[in-house]
Amino acid sequence: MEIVRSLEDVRNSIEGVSSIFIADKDGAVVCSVGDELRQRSAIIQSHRNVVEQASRLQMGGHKASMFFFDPTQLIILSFPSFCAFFLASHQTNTGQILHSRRQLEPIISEIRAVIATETPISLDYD
Amino acid sequence: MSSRRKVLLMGKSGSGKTSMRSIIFANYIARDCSRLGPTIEVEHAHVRFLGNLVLHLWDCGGQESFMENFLVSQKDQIFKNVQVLIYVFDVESREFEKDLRYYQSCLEALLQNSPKAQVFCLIHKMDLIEEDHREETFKKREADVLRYSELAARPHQVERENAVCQCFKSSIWDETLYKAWSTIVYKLVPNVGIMEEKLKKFAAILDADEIILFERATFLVIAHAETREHKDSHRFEKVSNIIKQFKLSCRCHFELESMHVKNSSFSAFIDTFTANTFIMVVLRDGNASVAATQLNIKLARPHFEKLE
Amino acid sequence: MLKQKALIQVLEQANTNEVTSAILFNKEGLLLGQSGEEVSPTWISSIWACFDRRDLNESIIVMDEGIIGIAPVANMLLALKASKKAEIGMVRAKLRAMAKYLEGPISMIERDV
Repeated sequence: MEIVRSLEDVRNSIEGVSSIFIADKDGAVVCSVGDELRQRSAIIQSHRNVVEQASRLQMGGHKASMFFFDPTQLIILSFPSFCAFFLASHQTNTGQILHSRRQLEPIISEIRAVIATETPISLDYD
Repeated sequence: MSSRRKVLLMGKSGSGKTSMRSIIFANYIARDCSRLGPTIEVEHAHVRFLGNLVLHLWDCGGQESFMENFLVSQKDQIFKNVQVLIYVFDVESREFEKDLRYYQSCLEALLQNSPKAQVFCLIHKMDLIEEDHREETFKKREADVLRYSELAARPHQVERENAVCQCFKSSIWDETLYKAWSTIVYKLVPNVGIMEEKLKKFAAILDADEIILFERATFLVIAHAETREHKDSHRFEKVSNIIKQFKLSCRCHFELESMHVKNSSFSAFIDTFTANTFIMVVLRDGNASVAATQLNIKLARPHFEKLE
Repeated sequence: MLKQKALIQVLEQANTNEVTSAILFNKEGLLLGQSGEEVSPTWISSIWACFDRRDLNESIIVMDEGIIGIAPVANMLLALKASKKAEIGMVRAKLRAMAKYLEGPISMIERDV
């Protein structure tokens, strides 16, 4: 499966999503489509802080975060060992983004498999 | 120049003025005082107290001959512009008659130079009298002091109900010292009645059991309002003492800004309030929100600042 | 002035339909008023701070066991906690309604400070 192409398909299927990127548990970007964001690593770091603070709420593990800014929305979906970041316009249907978890699951499994085989792949580090 | 108002603290040597001053103003607690030696000469301690009531404490040495000279040569200078005279009598003095005559001379000089001054007399070291005899002894001394005050006032034909406003019994070893000084301060604060009214309203809004205003430098109670009656009438002095001891035991040179104490049945907030006061809010609810109370204190502040 | 009792009465209105608590707190994490289940504002204000920008209007955090919704009210923060059975849309709607309702009175209090 072409990981990047599948991810691009997901992006195209939801109107208003400008970029999607996936990071591993160390915060390194594994895969990215759409507009290249300069603040990716800052966003990833902030998300890791959120997950840490949220763990103190004693409400189990983190599933998703949604941050609604004035012109944009940032949606983060947690998967085991990975997280997916969606940047979209504020009119974008948030529900659809949350729903895309189903489409992302196989993509992430594929990423996991690729990394496990230790095939050298150029990873995008910020 | 009425803002430079003087307070005179006077009395015979060894009557306890220096210890008293140290405890009230310089923040020593009682057991540190045994180390203070006899005061020589006039100690000119400028203590900023109640803000625009800038008071100087003139702790006149009180050694016999010094007192005699001092009354004669510097009389006018010392007794001019005096707002308050606090005169200290040692209850155990063997020469009470003599003490009273000294007092009379001072009072005469005062009335000549500052006819509007208020006079307070402290019968001090009451802890040395047996508890059963205390009230009786105090009443006797008080009567003598009042008598001599009248004598002092007579030559001046001063139109005052009474040259002496009030007599107090006091000791550095219990709350009576604070109570005396608090009462004195209360009489000196302008607008204290209005302040108490406003405090009462504030207490009602906050649903607080009690709100107390303390003077900043000395933690003497200036004003208070209670919505719920409290059994212990000595609580103010106890609170003052506790806070002071706490500040001293911290051994650091930082200024206290705020303190919050709570248990399951109450919350108390102490916060800097106006330039000259601390405010203490007591709430019956142990879960009262710190942020909400602080917010409300902040909102109330300007209303009280303009009263000063 | 802020009357804590009045504030709590307003917050209580959120506690229906799986919303188990509503709290109003400042950005330093200090609680102003709370209704329902006890929730510590400490972590919630930290979470908000991670992404706080002038244009951040709302945040929803979905955990395994429930949902947290956070919205600014004047210079303070309002948070709702809901069980995992709650619908995200419902939580958002309540959050926005309550924030809008409180915005007026709280900003009036803050203005005077």
